[in-house]
Amino acid sequence: MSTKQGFGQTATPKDVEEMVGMAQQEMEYRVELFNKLTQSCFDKCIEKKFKDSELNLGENSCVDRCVHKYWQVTAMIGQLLSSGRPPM
Amino acid sequence: MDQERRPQPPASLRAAVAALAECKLKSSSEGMDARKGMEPGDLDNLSEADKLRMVTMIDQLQVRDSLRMYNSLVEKCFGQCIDNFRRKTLDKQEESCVRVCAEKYLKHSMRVSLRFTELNQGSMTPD
Repeated sequence: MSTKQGFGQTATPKDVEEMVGMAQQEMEYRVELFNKLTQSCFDKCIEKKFKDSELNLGENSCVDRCVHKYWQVTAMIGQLLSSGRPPM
Repeated sequence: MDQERRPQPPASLRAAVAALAECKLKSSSEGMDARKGMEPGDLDNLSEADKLRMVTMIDQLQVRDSLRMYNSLVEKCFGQCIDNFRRKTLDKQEESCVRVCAEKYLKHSMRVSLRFTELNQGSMTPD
């Protein structure tokens, strides 16, 4: 296995390990984000009577807006966490 | 869909993680000291390589934990603050609710971690 990278840098096995670790954490983060997003918007938008297996018009547009808003909240809190020091 | 908002998480995420890891570092090193007290020379006996592995492992756990708390913070505040889906953007009220919710949650978790550290060190709060 070659450890040469295409960017004129030599990546040691340790660097590779670190990169894989970061990628893994990023994946875990995204999977968790997706799961929480799905759960939240299901709870908020889907009628619990379950008469029909299809999403109706209202549910569809609710889900679309819900996802968009969730994304916005994620961005907001991300900014909040990265800007101001967490309050003591 | 507006593309400019899409790449948002990675960049701010790194910073968020850095900020969180930094403020966590303090409490975790305190915790480490406490443990050292309980098991004398726990870390000192390790070889340099093992120490490095230990530190890397702790770093990874911290990043993972920060990401997890970021996610659950978003979930919690979204659940509490966003209830109507007539529009796809946040209105003023929702925005301020999310802001207050997030700040409050952070303060809450600081306080819990403070008390938790005390309990781990075995020094009960005098109350």
